[in-house]
Amino acid sequence: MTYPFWYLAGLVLFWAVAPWCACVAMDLWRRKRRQLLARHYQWSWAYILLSVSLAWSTLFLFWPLVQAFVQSFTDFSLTSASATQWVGARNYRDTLTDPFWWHTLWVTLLFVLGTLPIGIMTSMFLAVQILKQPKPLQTFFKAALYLPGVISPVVSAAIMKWIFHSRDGFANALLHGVGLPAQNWFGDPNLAMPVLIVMSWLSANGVGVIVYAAAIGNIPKTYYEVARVDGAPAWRTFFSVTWPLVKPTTIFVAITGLIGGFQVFAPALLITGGGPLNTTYFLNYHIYHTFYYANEFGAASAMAVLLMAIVIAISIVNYRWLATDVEY
Amino acid sequence: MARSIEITSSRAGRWAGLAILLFYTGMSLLSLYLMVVSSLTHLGASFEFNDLDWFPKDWAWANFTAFFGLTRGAAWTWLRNSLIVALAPTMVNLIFSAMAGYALAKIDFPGRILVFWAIIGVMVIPAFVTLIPMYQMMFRFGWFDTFFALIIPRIAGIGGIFLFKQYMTTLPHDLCEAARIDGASEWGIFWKIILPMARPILAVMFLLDFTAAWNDYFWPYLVTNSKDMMTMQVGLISLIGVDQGFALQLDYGIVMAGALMASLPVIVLFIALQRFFVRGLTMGAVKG
Repeated sequence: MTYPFWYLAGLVLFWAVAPWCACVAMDLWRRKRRQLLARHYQWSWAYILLSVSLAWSTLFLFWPLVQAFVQSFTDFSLTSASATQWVGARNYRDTLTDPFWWHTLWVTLLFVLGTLPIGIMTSMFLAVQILKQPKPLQTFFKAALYLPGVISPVVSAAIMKWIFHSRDGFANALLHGVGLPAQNWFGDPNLAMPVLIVMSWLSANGVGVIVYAAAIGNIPKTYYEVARVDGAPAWRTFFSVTWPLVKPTTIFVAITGLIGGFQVFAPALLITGGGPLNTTYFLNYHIYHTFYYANEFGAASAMAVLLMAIVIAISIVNYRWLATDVEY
Repeated sequence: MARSIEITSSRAGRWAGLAILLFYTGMSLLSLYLMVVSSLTHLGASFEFNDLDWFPKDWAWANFTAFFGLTRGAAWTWLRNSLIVALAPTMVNLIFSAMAGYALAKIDFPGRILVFWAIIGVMVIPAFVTLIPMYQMMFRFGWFDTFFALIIPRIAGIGGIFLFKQYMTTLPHDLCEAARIDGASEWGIFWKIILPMARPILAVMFLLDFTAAWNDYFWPYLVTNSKDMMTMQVGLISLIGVDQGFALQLDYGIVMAGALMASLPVIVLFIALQRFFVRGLTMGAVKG
C-alpha cells in the first residue's frame, strides 16, 4: 500500500536530477569549459520546481498512455483463463469491422453536431447581448450563465431524471397544462437524444459566453465606428468585423467543445443507460461496458486509442480550417 | 478596455438584449430552481405535480432529515469523504502547479518549450485512454478502495500549470531579475515575490480544482466499492441508479435534497470567488 510512494519519490528525484545533468553536460561539452555557470544553477531550480509535476505526469499520464497502447495489441482480459497474448492489430480490426462501434460513433457524432455549432452561435449571440448591458448586469449574467457549469453531472442527471420522468415529471405536467399528451421522454427512441441535446444548449454554454464576451469586448471601438460611418448594416458588421476578429476564440471554443463532446458519457451512464434502443449509446459508454462489464481490457484500450485518434484528427482539421493569422 | 458593442447598439437593442438574456438565464436556471423547490416540498414516492409549491411558504425540512437519516447517517460519511477528497489534493496541487508554472514562465532553461508543448499536447488525451491502465494500477498498488486512490492521482495536474504559466508570464520580468541581482534564491523569488502576486490565479485554481474534485463521480465510482468510501456523488449515484433507462419511482424530494447538498459547496464557493473566475477562464483563451 505504501511502496508506490517510492516510485513517486524515485521519479521526482529522477526528474530533478537527470534532465539537469544532461543539459549541463551538453553545455559544458559545447563550450569546452569545465566550471559550472550561474545559469546552470538556475536550470537546476527549474527542474527541481518542475520535478513533482513531471513525476506525476510520468506515473499517471505517460505511463498509462504507453500501457494503453501496448495493451491494445494484446487480448488482455480478466474473464478469459488463458494467458495474455499478443494479437497484433486484431483488436483494431475487430473494432473497425463491428457495426456497433460505428453506431456508437454515429450517436456520439450526432450529439456533437447537435450541441456544438448551436452552442457556439448561442454563446456568441449571448455575449453580444451581455456587452450591451451596464457593467453590474454584465457580471451578473456571466455568473448566472456559468452557474449550471459548476453543477456536477450526477446532480444534473438526478434533476433531469425527475423533470423528464415518464409518468409525472415536470415536463409532462407542463404538457398536460397545455393539453398535450404525456411523453415517455427517456423511454422514447425519438425523444431521448433530442432531450439531451436541448438540455445541453441550456446548461453548457457558460464558458463560451464568458470567453466570447472577453474577446468581443477587446475588439477596438474604431472598427465599429468605421463600419457605422460606412453605413454597414448590423449583419455586415458582424460578418466583416466581429466574426473574423474573434476567430482565435472560436477555435478555442470549438476545439475544447469537440474534445469534451466526443467524451460525452454521464447522460448514458446516469440517465438513459444507452437506451432506448441504443439511441444514446455513446462511444465512451461502449468503452466503459467493454472494460467494466465484459472485462476485455485489450479491446477497450484499442477503442480508447481510436477515440483519441479521432479527437486529435478532428482538432487538427478544425484548427487548420478555422486558423487565420488575425492581428489587430 | 474599450467596450466596442456599445457604439453599435441602440437603446431598443439593449432592452431587447436584456429580455433575451433574462429569458435564457431563466430557462437555464429553471432546473436548479426546481431542485431547490422540490427539496423543500414533501413529495413522497407517488408524487403529483400539483403537490409542488412554486414558492414554498413553509419549508419542509423533512427531505433533508430523511436524506441524512438514510441507512444510519450514511450521508454524513459521504459528505466527510467528499470534503477530504476535494480539499486535500486541491491544496497540494495548488503549490505544485504554481511551482511548475513559475519555472516555465520565469526561468530560462533548455527544454522549456518542449515541456510546455508536452503539457498542451497531453490535454487532448481523452480521459478514457489512461483510465483503463490507471484502474488496473490501483489494484497493483493496493490502493483500490482506499483514500490513496482518490487523492494521490489528484495531487498534481496539467491544467493548473498552464493557468499559472499564462498568468506569471504577464508579471514583469524585471522584478525577478532585480531580485536575482540582489542575491535572492529562485525559491525565494517564487515564494516571496511571484506567488503573492499570483493570488487571483490561486483563487481561480482553487475553485476549478475543488469543483472538479468535488464533482468527480466516475473515478470514485470505479475505484471504491465499500460503503465507507462513498463520496457525495457516488452516494447520489446509489440513489438514482446506473445503466438503466427506465424511470424509477423514487422519492424525488429526498433525491433532490441530496442533490442540493451535493451542489451547495460548489455553488457557494462559485458565488464567493466569482469575480476571480471570469478572469481565469478568459486567460489563455483570449488574445490581447
